[in-house]
Amino acid sequence: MTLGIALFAKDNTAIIASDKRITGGTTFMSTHGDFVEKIHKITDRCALTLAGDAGIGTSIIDLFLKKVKIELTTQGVQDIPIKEVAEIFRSVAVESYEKWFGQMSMKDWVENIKNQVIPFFRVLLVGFDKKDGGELKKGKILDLSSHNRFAPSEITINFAAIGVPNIAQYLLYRFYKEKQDEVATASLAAFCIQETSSQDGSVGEQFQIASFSDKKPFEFYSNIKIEEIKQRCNELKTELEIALFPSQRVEEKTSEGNQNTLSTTESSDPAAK
Amino acid sequence: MPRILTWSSLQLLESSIIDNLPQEAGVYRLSYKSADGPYYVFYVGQADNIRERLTQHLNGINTNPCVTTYIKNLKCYFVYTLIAESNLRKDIERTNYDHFKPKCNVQMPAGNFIDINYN
Repeated sequence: MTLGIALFAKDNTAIIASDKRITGGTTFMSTHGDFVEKIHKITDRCALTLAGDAGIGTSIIDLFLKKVKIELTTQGVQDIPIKEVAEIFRSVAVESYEKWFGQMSMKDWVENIKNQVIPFFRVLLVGFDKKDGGELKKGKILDLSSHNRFAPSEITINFAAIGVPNIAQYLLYRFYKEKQDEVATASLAAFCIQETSSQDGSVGEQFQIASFSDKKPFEFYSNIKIEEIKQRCNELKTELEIALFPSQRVEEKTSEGNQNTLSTTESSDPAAK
Repeated sequence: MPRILTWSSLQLLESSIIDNLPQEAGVYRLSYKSADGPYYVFYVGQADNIRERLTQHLNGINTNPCVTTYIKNLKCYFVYTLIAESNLRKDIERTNYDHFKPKCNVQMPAGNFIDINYN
């Protein structure tokens, strides 16, 4: 499995993060080396991360990226709205599934995915839509899954996770803040991956992150930046752990005559007593 | 006028450095270096023997779980000042506590707030 996360930071910055481990269900896990690229740049203002059957996914993404390139050339533009990107993806994915696995009614399609007769595969698209019909400024995350025949499902909050999302979703709901700076937001995404990895071997500890905004083009984080993010993850982990330790409590004086017992007698050094 | 204290430089909390410290009484602070640059203080203390006390922290002896967690997870640093007089140490510890609001000091140290320099 995988953990892929898309989320927005301040200044309309989209962040996309993923682990780098490949697994074959429970058959094998590449724990000896996390090296798989699961983030794909589509344009400078749009990217995706995938989960599920990586082989089928990669084949479809290759076809999809070619089709996007043709579309950009045809329109003579550098970027297209995320909803157009999603529609291209949907048509390529459905066409490929039908070509490889045969024409299916929606009912058969869903049954076949559920019974693992045909492979499951899912992507998160993150990018920008036109604002008031004008520039690409409106950040959006779309979820396209083989479960629902790749119909684009719009995420109505500023973050989403696919693959093994349970721990990540807990952490994101707990700690995500809108308009937080990019590094802090990227660190939260990385922290979600590391925490999930610590509990679930199908998600790798190593991760990759990319970001872009309506002003800044798509860019993968450098190794130096990844190391900085890892250090921040350790800080987040420490903060989370120490949050469970008792803090100073001061008792309020009550009518029963209890004293205000704010202690001033503690020495932090037992040896000094 | 603040009481002028001679603080050590910021040093890495590791045994090779602690082993060379004087075995004297003093006040100390523990901190970690954040990824965004600053050093954040998470604990302040005072001891009859600075070297012995910092060694205890490093080895998790007579150390609260919060301090142990920081030292285990992060690269930590310390500064200290040598102070022989017990009451003055307590005052400096309390003053450090008020100034840095360290997360790992569960209870307010004894002593009174006094005017000092911090580095």
